Amino acid sequence: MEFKFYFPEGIIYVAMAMYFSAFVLFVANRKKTGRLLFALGFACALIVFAWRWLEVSRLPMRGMFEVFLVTGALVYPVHLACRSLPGVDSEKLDAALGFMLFFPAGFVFTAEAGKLPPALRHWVFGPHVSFYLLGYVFMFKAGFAAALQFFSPTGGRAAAAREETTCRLARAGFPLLTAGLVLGSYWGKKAWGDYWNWDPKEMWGLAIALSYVVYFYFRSATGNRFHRANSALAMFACAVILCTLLLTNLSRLFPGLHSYAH
Amino acid sequence: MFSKNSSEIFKWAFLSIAALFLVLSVAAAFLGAERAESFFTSPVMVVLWAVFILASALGAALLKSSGAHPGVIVMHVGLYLVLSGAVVGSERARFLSDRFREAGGIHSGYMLLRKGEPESLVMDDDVITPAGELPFSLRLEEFRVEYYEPEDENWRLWVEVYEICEREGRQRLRFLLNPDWEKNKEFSVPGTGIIIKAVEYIQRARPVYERAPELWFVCGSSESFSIPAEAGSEIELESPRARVRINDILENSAATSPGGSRMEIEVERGGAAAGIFHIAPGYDYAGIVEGLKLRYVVPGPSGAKRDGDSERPAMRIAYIRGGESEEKWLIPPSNRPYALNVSEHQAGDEAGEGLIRLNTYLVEPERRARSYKSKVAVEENGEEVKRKVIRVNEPLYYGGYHFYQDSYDTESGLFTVLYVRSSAGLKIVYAGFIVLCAGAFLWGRAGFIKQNKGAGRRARRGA
Repeated sequence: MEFKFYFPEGIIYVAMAMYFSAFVLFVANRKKTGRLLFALGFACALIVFAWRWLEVSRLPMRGMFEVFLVTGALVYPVHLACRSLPGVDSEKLDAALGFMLFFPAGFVFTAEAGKLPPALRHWVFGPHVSFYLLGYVFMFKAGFAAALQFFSPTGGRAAAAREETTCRLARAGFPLLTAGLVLGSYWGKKAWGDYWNWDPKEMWGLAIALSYVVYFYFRSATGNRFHRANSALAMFACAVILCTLLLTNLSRLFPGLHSYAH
Repeated sequence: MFSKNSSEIFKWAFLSIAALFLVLSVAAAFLGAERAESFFTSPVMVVLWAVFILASALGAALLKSSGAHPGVIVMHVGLYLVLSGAVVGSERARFLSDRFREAGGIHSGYMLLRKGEPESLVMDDDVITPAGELPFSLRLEEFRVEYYEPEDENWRLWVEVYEICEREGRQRLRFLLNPDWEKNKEFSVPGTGIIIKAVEYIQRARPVYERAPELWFVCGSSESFSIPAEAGSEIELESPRARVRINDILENSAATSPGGSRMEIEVERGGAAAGIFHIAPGYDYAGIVEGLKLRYVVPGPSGAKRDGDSERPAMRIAYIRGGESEEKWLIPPSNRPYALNVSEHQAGDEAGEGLIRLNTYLVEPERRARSYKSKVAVEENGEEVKRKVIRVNEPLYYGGYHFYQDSYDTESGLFTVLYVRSSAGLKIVYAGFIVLCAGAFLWGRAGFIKQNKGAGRRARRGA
């Protein structure tokens, strides 16, 4: 357990509290106050992000604390983008997702800021990570929707609607992940000489993309008739993302160019 | 042209290939980069890659006729381009391409560039076996490493705690402490009752000396006398007859003496020709002047003062025990990345209960490289055709090759290692990337912002 009792990183606990309160309020159907707190939580995360950027003199998107901080923060703008679209609006899930993403940043990972080694000091670093994190938010939302569909006993229209939501969210996330992969490849060429180095993180990134290709192709080939199977594939793809995020950054199982652990 | 059936069959086929590559990718992640590369470029995989490429091309055509969203078709074209470009630039393909061979026929390798010496040889991964020769050469003009400024980083404290057994005359290392020090924050040395506290820390400091360095002449056990240790100091000795003159004090020489300096003296013995000697601080030199031992004494600093030009800090540290406090300075000399203070303390409440020795180090934080760069010139047919400063993330591009800053001689900076990579197929791959992304965004956006009407039609299409 790593506690951040200092400024500005300590504000993440305020952001977490806001997101959690928003979730509770949404469940209690107090939408207006819930939305206010949701927005405040995002503002708090933004403060941490901006202050840390000034403190460490580089974009704070490296290391697990920063990654989970940014991903949790991105839940809010994605929530806003989805709010006006019928079928993909899910306040409770979004607030819950945001809180779950802040949790590791708040309690698990150290906020120690590392200096960027020469290879990471490239303008592509920001866009590459940003596209991936934004894509992850859409995919986690899709995973939530898929889980709801998979585990809910009701069938028929409700199930079909939920399954449709999963697909739409996944379709939004897919180009973001593709852009992240392509930018990473371009950066790899610039930094290490090859656009593909067979690094574990690259292989996992490819695995994520292929998981969604399998999902979309299966859905299409089966004429969208097997909702639970589709949802299972979407949840599987989410699991692949979690593996990429956690295992390759932390585990000694996958030594490679991308390890941020040591 | 293609029936609905063939479109369905294709979808299942592509799905299977994607699923297969998914499983292989995950497996490869466990193998590590080297083994993954050998696996994916093995002859079996070459066949699978060919199938994948064919499927992408076929997909674009089939899906178009089955009325899929344009973005899907564009994505498949993009994928086809990326994979084809990768094949064109692959190691196997270099044997097939004439243009490739004309450019030197090298897929990738390493070049060791020594300062000022033109080099055209490219070595294999082991940097020993030649991989080929370029039709031009590179010359390293200059190499530089830029470090992150250490000025904002406080030096670290390390304390070795030894238990001394006086009876046996041995010492035993009990702990190694690495306190996260802060000014006036107290740290206790476990089990000893000793408290350590950093009382003062000067970020940029200059040592202050109470006494100046001196050259001592020690005559047996009786008189000894000294002259100031500065250039020009001279002394005439009566017995033995000799004249000693200090020519120079050499600072920061390669000698590892504590003072970091050596003294050059000129000694004339009883009318004979003068001899030049170099002496280091802290040692007794017996042979230079008969009957006398020479000793260059450089007293340690008594303290430190702030000095904006200095790049080294100083710390005043207090050892507190039983209400009594003893202060010492930790001042790193200019030729060492640390300062050491050795102190002995009585542990326990009763006399004779045990002696503790503390080796306190003030250590320079590890310098991290911010960037490293090589200034390189390209020569072809005896003429200089291009110049570039190669930095990490900024390669040199010439003659169909990219040259990357890979590593360097960390000890003396005399050579740099560049990674060479042929750019064959690169433009195709990049074009494929752009097309792939464009298709993905077109298709993704359409699916996300879909209108409710027409949903029935899209549900049938599926994709």
